[in-house]
Amino acid sequence: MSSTEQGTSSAAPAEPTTAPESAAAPEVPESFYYVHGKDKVVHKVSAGALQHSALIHGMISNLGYTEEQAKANPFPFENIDGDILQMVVDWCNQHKGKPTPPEDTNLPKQKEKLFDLVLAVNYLEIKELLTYCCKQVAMMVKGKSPEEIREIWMIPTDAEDEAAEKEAKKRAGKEAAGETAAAAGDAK
Amino acid sequence: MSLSKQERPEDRLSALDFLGGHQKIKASKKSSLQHAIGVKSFFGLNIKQFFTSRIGKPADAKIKEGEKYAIIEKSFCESDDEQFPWLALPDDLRETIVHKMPLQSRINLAATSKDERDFVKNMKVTCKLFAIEDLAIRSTNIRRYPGLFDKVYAHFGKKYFVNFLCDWQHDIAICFCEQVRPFKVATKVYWLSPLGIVKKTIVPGVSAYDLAVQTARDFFKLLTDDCKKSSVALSGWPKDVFEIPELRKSHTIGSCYDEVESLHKTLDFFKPYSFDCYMHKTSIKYMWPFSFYYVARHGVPGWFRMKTKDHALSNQMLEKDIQIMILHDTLISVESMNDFMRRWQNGQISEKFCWWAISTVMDVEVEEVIDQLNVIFVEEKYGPKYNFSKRASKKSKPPQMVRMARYDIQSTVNRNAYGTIIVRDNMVMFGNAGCAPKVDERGLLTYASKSSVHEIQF
Repeated sequence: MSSTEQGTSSAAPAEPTTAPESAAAPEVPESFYYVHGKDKVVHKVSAGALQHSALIHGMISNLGYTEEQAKANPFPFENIDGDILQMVVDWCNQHKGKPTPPEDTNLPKQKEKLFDLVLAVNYLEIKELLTYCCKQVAMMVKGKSPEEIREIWMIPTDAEDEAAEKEAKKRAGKEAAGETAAAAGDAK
Repeated sequence: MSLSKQERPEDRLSALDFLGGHQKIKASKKSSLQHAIGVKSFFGLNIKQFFTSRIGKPADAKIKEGEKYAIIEKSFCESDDEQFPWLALPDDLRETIVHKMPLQSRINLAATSKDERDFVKNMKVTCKLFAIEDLAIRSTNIRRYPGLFDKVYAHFGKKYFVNFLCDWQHDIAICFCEQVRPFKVATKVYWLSPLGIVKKTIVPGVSAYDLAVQTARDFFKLLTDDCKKSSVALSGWPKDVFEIPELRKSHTIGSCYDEVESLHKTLDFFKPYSFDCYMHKTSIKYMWPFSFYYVARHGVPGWFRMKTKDHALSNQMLEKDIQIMILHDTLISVESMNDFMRRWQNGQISEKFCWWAISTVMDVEVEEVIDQLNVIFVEEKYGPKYNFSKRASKKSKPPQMVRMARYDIQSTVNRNAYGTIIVRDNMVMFGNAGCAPKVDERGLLTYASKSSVHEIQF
């Protein structure tokens, strides 16, 4: 091969030269891992499904977890509610080895659950699901007025903000005064 | 700036308002300077009114408490009463969510509170395409907005187009049309509202060109550093445009040239950044990381309309510190190409150099190309001569076959350094071994960039 061809050969798609061999090779049994959330309920998840989560995938590949070790010590996610983790696991199982569709309509409609889901998915680094969730959150306020957005997203008004700031300052001042008084008392 | 009669208050919620809102936020303490700045600042004045009344200062007082809750209740009667603790989300997540919002939702979010306004204001926008074009030179981008195009097309006089495709799901497309009025200049501004309706405003006392450039500069302040694609089609790259620093960070910059001198000017401007650039018809594109220069074939012979001095300027293109360069139908002489190869052979060419491919309007003799060079013949192939004329393709004549010869060239300074020379018809390709593109016998040049694989027909 000439140098010219070598220069661009990387751009060309790899030819499936090993395809017949791989077709003949025996199927490798799928390995499973275990995770649990705040409720300590253990969920069994296939390695393929866990590929979606960059965090878990990194843990498996970096720590060299075997299936037996994983069974004995499930991945603990104490900061994730059990039902939310179940939701995430279900989504990963559903989309295992499949191209993700442009939209996902199965996400929870309840705002509180969606909030927990967004945080969980962000923590677990599931990029595709996070995109869906963020879209869902963004759509929550589509066509809404500023007042409505403020109500839905619990955003305080400037006046409320200022009042809260004043109160916080007052409280801090009182606490500081209390501390100095206590220190003076101790000194006496 | 006064509002035109056609404009209703609710129409102010537009791309211009968004821009003006940002201008206002940034320039709110500079009102005394407005006269000094000149008439341009009046461009944002009506926008300021919008943002004064809406952004950050929602008209809560106008709505009675009871009414407000009634509205909210009505809006959400079908959904649950739960709330979403937006402020409890980490900042990066909030940013990701805002990036998925349409423009109008962003504006409304910015209006909820001062903190949110700052958050939205400080959040940069990812820009997929920026275009600032003189419509007399290029009108391909505006044609994507037929409504806007129809309005502007009928307009007499100078017309400029500013366009941003951003991640807020609403294109910013604005046209500035110069109005000819006795004793004063005015500009008619047409823009797309977030609903896709074309709106109109008249800005007195400022030329369409100044307003277009100023708008482009203002928009750039909202964007992230990596604007992916820019298209500048203004005659001869005016100084104002050079002064947009963000433009240098674009992955691809397109421009328009009608003479080689401007081309040199641009090459020198981007020199510290080294650029990829390629030309299509009368436009030129620079591709990040700016190492590549390409002038594409034009359907009309003599498109480059070179002046006498352009012969010399064309040859000087090979004296630039280039990495990749593609030139179609140029006046670069075979002697210049041969000289470049000799300099490469003698180790006088920068190590950054990858390859160039040049076709000329003159005949190319292989012997002249490799004259006095230390070359080794590798192979020869025959393929059909490429004819870009549509008329010619309709003829039933069999295509003329042309020879493609490939040579390897060895550096006299570094014995491990090899180069490749390909001569096909009136095209010469020369490159460092390993970086050179693939050229097939039909004259199709294939090379890979960071973004994708490109094909160019010679």
